[in-house]
Amino acid sequence: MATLHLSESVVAQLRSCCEETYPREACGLMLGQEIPREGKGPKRMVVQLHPARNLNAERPERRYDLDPRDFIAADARARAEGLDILGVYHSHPDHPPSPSQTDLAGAQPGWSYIILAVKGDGNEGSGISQEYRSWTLVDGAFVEEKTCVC
Amino acid sequence: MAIVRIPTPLRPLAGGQSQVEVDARRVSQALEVLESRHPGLRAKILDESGAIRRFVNLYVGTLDVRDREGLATPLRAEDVISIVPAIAGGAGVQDLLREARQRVPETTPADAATEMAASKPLVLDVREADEWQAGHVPGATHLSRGVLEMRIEGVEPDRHRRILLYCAGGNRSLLAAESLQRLGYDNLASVTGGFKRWKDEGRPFVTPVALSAEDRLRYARHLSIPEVGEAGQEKLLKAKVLLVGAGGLGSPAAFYLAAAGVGTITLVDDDVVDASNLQRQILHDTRRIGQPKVESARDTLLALNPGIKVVGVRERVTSGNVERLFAGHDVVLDGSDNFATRYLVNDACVKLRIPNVHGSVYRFDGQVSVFWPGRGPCYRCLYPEPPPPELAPSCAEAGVLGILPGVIGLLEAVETLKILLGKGTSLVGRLLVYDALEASFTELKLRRDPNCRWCGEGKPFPGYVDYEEFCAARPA
Repeated sequence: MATLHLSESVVAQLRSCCEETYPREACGLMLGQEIPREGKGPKRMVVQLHPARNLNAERPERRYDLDPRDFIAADARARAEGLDILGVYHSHPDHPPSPSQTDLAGAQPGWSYIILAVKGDGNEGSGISQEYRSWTLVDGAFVEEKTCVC
Repeated sequence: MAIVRIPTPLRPLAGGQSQVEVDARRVSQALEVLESRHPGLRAKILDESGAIRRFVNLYVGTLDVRDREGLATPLRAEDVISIVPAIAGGAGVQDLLREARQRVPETTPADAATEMAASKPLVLDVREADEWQAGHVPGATHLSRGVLEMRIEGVEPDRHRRILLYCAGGNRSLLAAESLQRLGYDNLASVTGGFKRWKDEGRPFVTPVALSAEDRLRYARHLSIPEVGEAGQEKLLKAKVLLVGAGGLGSPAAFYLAAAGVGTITLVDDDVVDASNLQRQILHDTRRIGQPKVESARDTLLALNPGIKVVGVRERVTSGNVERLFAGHDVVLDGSDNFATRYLVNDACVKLRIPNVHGSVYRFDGQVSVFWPGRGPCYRCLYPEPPPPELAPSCAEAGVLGILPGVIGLLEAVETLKILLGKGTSLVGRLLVYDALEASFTELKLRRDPNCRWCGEGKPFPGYVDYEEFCAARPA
């Protein structure tokens, strides 16, 4: 299984953009490189995040529909910089960072899915990011994958 | 050459390539070329029927092909086709239900039934139309989940009103109640177990008379407004309206009431069609001159709507027949032009407690009101007795702008429909005065006379009076 490597700046960006979007769900794409390793799963190095718009207007605090135009822009940016889209991040406002059935239904094989929990801090519309976890599809089910900050 | 950009999840199927150049003139052709080179790729994009899969978007440049010509969207050289996986997610339905349960109080069918008997909460059925048709809680209002937020204000503007919501099993109503809470409704409960448990416990339910497919089409524009809807249309189809006069006021009113699907329309008029009527009495036409008006009107109304019943009574309203004629009707629409009839209409409506929708026209002026026994004044509260004959205008001499009875007759028809549907604020206690020359509407407040000899509380009915007829011309 792959290991997801995140730089400190990527983690900081992930936290700040999910906190800013709270109480709605934030979503975006992770850009980077996948480096094959001998004898074990590849190393996925996330070097940039590409925040995207959440088109879900009905329940944006519980659902996200990533704007396909943002995907195209992220894809173009990745290609220009010799990177790939490695996966998707999204936040779970006031909810644990585990994937739901809805997350599973829209999941793509070979991608990493980071979910970051954001908890309300008692002030209206304001939240603080909590734990994040990364998940990937194995035989049609989500399995948690290792992450490291380096 | 166009370029197809392959997203990372599909690259293993494309030999690891991130993009493929294709020579194609349309998107469909590009996908064929792609498939010929990388078998299995197309199945990830199109389903068995050849349509674009739900979790995939195809873009040419920055435009979704679904917004263009779909798979037939033409390609130019250098166009970039992006295969964009639909990326979506969020908390699951079980999470949503768990959360909704924390926010929305629940009540059992037994408690709901007790509450319904004691007070009058609004009971909302949030299921789909076909489920409602198969049976529902008596007195419930149907507002399916999909249109709930859009229509709730029309059904219940008071955000503090007690509302009980139910669905089939108790989940949808929970989520529906949560949506209503977000709109500010703060006195809600969801019925646990829903309609299924309600029925299983042997509680009463009603099965609405289903509208036929034909009716559904004919009244589609009624069905799509919440104030009418299926229940309202059924009310209209079961309703009986009597029109006094098939003339200037009765023509437009009957025409539209028939179109609206008022199930039984009784027309009372003893006159025959005259050429001078045709300037305003639109139920009749030139070929029908000399025919009884009720027959001519009946033909016109049934041609418009063969699904209703039109009863023509070729009689003049008198003290001897008025009760027999009016009995059993839900509303009486007064289209008479003379005081003698107007007083008989009023008196019979007071006695039989039937709402009397009143209209009158004179040259360029018209008036409309609703005299609803028990709810507001009657005609006699305002004018206890008719004026002496020499002071009453003669309609034949006075004349009327041909369209004016159209305007007033239709206002009467609108009030009639509102009464039948039980919606809106009726013109009870208000006289709406239309001045066609000024193009103005003025509203006058009408007060009930507590000592009115006809409608005053506890007064014995004084009996009918046949006043002397003093208007030469018959219906307006």
